Amino acid sequence: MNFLPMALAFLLIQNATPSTQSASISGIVVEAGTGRPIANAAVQLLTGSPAPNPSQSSFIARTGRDGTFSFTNLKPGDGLLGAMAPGYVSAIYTGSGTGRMAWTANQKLTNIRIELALTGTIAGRVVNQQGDPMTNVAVQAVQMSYLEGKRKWWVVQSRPTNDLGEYRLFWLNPGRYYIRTVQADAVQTSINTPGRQVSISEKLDIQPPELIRSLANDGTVSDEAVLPIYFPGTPEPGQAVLVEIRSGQTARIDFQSSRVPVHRVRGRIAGRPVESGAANTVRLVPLDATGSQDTFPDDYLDLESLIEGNTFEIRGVPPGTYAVLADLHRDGTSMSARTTIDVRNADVNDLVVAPTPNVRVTGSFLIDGDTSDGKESYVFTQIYLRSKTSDADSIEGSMTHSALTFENVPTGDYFVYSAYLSVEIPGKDGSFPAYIESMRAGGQDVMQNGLHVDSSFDQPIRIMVRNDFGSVSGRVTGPAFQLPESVVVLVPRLRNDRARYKTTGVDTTGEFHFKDVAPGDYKAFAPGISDYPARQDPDFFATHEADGRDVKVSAGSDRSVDVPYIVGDPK
Amino acid sequence: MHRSLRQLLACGVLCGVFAGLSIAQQSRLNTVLGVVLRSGTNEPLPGASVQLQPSGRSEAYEVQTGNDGRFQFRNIPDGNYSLAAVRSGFVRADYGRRRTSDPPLILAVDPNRTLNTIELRMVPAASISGRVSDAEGEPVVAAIVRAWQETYTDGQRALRIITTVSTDDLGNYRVFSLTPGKYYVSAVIRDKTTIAPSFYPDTTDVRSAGLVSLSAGSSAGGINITYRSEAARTIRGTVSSPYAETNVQLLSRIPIVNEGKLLVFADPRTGSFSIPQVSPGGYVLSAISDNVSMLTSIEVGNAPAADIRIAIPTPIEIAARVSLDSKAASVGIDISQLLFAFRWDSDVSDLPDATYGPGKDNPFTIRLAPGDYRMRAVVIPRNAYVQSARLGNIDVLNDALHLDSSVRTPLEIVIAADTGTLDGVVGNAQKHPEPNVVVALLPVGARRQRSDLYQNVRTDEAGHFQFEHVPPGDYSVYAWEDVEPTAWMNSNFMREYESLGKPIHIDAGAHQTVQVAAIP
Repeated sequence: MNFLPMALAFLLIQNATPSTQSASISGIVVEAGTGRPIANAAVQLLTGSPAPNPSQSSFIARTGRDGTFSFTNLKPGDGLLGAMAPGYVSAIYTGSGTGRMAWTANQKLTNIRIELALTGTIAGRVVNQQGDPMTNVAVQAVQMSYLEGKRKWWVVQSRPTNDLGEYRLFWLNPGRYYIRTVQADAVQTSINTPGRQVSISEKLDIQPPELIRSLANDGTVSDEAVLPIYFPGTPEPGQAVLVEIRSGQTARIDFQSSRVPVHRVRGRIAGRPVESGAANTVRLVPLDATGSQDTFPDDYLDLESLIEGNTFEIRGVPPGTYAVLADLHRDGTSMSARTTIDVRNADVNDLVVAPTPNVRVTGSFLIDGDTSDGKESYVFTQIYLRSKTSDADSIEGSMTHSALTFENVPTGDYFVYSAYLSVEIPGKDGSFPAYIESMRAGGQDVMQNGLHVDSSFDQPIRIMVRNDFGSVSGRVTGPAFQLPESVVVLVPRLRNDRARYKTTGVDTTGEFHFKDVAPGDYKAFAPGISDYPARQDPDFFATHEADGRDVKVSAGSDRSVDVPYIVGDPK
Repeated sequence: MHRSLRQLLACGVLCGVFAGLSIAQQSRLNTVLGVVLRSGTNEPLPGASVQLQPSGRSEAYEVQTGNDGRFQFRNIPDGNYSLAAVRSGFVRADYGRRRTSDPPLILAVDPNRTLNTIELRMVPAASISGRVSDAEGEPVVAAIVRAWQETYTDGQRALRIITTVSTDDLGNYRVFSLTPGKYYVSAVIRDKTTIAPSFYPDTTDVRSAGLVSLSAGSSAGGINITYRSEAARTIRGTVSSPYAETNVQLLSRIPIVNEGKLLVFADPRTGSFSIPQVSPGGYVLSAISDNVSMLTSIEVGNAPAADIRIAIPTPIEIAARVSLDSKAASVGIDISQLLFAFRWDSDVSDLPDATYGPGKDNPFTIRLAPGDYRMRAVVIPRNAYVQSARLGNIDVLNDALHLDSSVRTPLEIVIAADTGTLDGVVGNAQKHPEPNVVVALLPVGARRQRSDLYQNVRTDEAGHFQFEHVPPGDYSVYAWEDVEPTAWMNSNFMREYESLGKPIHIDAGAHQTVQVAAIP
């Protein structure tokens, strides 16, 4: 999951064919600060324009023991020069301002000096409450990442503790990380750097239990779970504190104990008995403090219970706020209940959930230019109803021609999310990309406000689809503009309209181009190098509104906009 | 790590068990008592966490041992559990598990059993640490470091990976939670698979690697490995064969347990083959074509391997006939279903079998390259066995089958079905029954080479064992408290224990009972 264009460029290596031209570039790669030469660094010369029509060539040279490198027999041209070495932060040569350099036939560019900053290290110890070392605990440096607008942990590095409880994370690019311990089957080393991706399984043959029923001598029983612990020592991801790692620095971080008291949520289903033998389950999904989105959908919680009789019990629930998702069958009908609970420092013993019958939601796509009125057209998309309360609560729709069906929809409030939309209509060859212009159901503007589904809901969703896209071109500006990680993001006026976020790369001159942009109002942003995870984060753009540039896209238009490069950290 | 409940739904009965656990009052409740001791000294170990985990569940009951090393679980519902003790500085102790290759024992908890004398012995953990560096002394970062121990596979000396760790940015590693014993340590870089692993201290050939001896609780430091970054070899050669399709297998003389063998197909036109990524060492190369195989020994060293030539000759054809003795005939054994394997008589295990059976034709034809073979039945009812196999007057069952062009007489195979039964109890020096120990039944005398007559089982919780189908004859029964699997098939290993077996004679169709003392 490394999207760095530099790493991509390494996949496109072309052999430098000797030519009659004899321009050359030579120089040295050194450690920033000390000036110490760096041996065996990979120096990459990227020539040509990567976007919108990629035509670049890439050449690689390795530095010798004295840190020097050279490219010879170059045709006249221009390009970018970068270097990477294990233990150092990859860098682009910026001696000539924007980073772009040009050379003429027979020109010899010499004394190019590329400085690489040292990466950082985090080392420490993990002990339990008695101060004894904890063995085979994975310590992870994580950052936020976004997938379809959903926040996800992105594990930059994971390393296990040894029998002394010691760990060491290394080769970390300077920046801010959450650090956590995970005791599970994640006992492995995984390193994700532009220069090297390694995954080494140090897995144990026996997995430690996830939930401990601790029996004390006085007979008391306490449930404890081995949950991720975040620096500075909290099991609640929302209270995790970012750790700043500086170049060349070794930060020492010790953790104590990763056992957390957990609780039991017991409850019952109101009303008549549920059908025995059916898939009747209750699930808890963590919510953040505002109760609006998943905070950190995480792979380390599995809070789910079968309904036995009309009761359920979920054990091992850490303190927090949860969406309660009950899905069951009664009298041949599939039913659901949705509520939220707050689990603090005690068991919950009397949660009563009242299910209501699920609803069938239908819809149709009305495609601009479709002469068959939907009968001979096809719509291809992944379409979901996503609960406004929890992203984990979503229902995928199924398509027949241009007709849409969501089966067994629990009553509640949803966004409709459609990805990878393309259509096929009579009179036009093949399928082509399209966008949703509007969505309405009865009197509801679904596009603007989402969809409210109650037990009497019976209005089909009418989805108007067009394919008369516009396009947006422009240039990233500002003295701090850096390549190659720079991107431009088009953020729609309706910030929850995830399908309309668009991201593109920037070529070596700072230019970018978006094609197939649905008409509408957008803001264009150019988030900087360290902000990769923020590229789809509505919160990030909210804090940088002043750096965005408004773009109004209409059908068939090609808008041009200059976007200032955003420097600095998103938080 | 998740067991999704949606998956659990499929389990039917199990789900009921699990529901009963969470609502304890619906179930009968039991007490499980025991003690955690330091291995060797038998002194009680306080402060150990003892975990009692219902089978198939990801949760566990946990108690701490007191100053007397004792632990007690009360109000435990009926069911099957695993039991283990963990404590900092000690190797995890699983109930009934003596070595890492042993399966842990399942503890059945029910009111009809008194579980108050459970002993868990904890071994102080040993460790190996050091640095991996290249020829220039630079650290090798994120290298895979493995600790290995010697073991056996079908009696052949072999290696097993005990644990895997990785080096940090300084090249440092630490292998830990090791039981006492002798270890090899190797380093290799994952993303460069064409490099052979380097063994401590400075070799890619395990035969010249250094052994690190660990006593209980010891720390061996400074076990530095020079990473040789030596390319693994490619074995190249040509097979000539009367058949079109030939595959070539490379078998190590010191194989790695659970690691697949290297197998390639020779080019059908030219017969050429190449096997990449071969570490230095001794190997047997076998070429197989239509059940006919040839072997050649090769030594992969530091010099590039010479071009290997191997020829599969025109096979010798002999007729074979299967007959049943009266008992086998009376129980209705179907000759057409039987299948026999012929394998080169070699000290390398895992050589390919050539298999032949009568099918609808009895007699049937066997085609093999000239040479010496061991024969055994591979598809045969459990109550039946090969009683004899003869070429004229020559016994080719207990001795090797020697095939050359002079063979004229048919192979006569007789199947019998009069197996006996052997059961017994294994006790330790104090005559206490020994659960979960290996009991091996070894043929003696002329039948020692008959791999089909070797059997082994593990004792149950009461120290009891049973061999259900034993071909009549003379055997020795051995029980070890602590043994590598299949070590008893290795004659070097057995030299030390030969006299400690319990001799028995199994008569046709008879039942025998035997008491066996476990070898510590």
